[in-house]
Amino acid sequence: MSDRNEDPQLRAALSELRAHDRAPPFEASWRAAETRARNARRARAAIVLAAAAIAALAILFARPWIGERIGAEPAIASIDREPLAILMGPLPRLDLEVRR
Amino acid sequence: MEVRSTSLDRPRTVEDLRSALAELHASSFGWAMACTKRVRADAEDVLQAAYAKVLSGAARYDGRSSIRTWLFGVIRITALEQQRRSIARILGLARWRAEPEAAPSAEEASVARERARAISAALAALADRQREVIHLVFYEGMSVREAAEAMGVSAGTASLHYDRGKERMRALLAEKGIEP
Repeated sequence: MSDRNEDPQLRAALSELRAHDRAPPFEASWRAAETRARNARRARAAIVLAAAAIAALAILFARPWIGERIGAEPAIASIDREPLAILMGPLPRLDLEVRR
Repeated sequence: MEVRSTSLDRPRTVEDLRSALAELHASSFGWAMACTKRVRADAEDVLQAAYAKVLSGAARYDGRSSIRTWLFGVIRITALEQQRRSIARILGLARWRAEPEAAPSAEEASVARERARAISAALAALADRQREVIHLVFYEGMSVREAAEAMGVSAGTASLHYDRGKERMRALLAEKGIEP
């Protein structure tokens, strides 16, 4: 395999380029990187907070519905009476009177 | 060209890492230039983003390779990510947006700068892999094998790009009238 830079023309050309390329000061790049890293951390924290807030709101608003689904106490009191009444006997009196 | 080694082969603290990066800064910037088709503003941006990855711990040095090879890998991946994100690049406007060989100002019109600009343009005209391997070998003084490691490709693939890149680069330099 061809290995190190054995081509003198290319070596000279790229050395010339290297001498011409002026890197920005390290301190400036490092400080900019620190700012970027800090901003990214803040952005991540904000996203996590927003997600937690949305989840909390969702749970808060969906709680009655979830309660109904899992058979929590208030839901049984209001809903499950109806099928029980159908099973136990005739229609309630109030309904019959309305029909007459 | 001699391969420079950092005095901090296994940085343990952020301060160690910072010193190692400071030592490699000029080389890292050159590599970032190669990874961004020699567009200076993009190279500065990529280098800052790569340092930010190091600072945030998104890129961690595990000691499996030299710190230079690892850092060059981070810079190359960061450049690829930036390239994907850039709508201008997707639309193919990058070359139009920031040609490496911008019109020289009066005080910049020295022969040496013109030559450097022409060499930079020739390098920018190479295919990505060819430019990367040519840069690593002739600008950084790496062997083709080391370049392959930094590029994340096999030695055979790097060697192929190296041979093709050399031929193309010689032709481009001849076109531009650059003699050694």
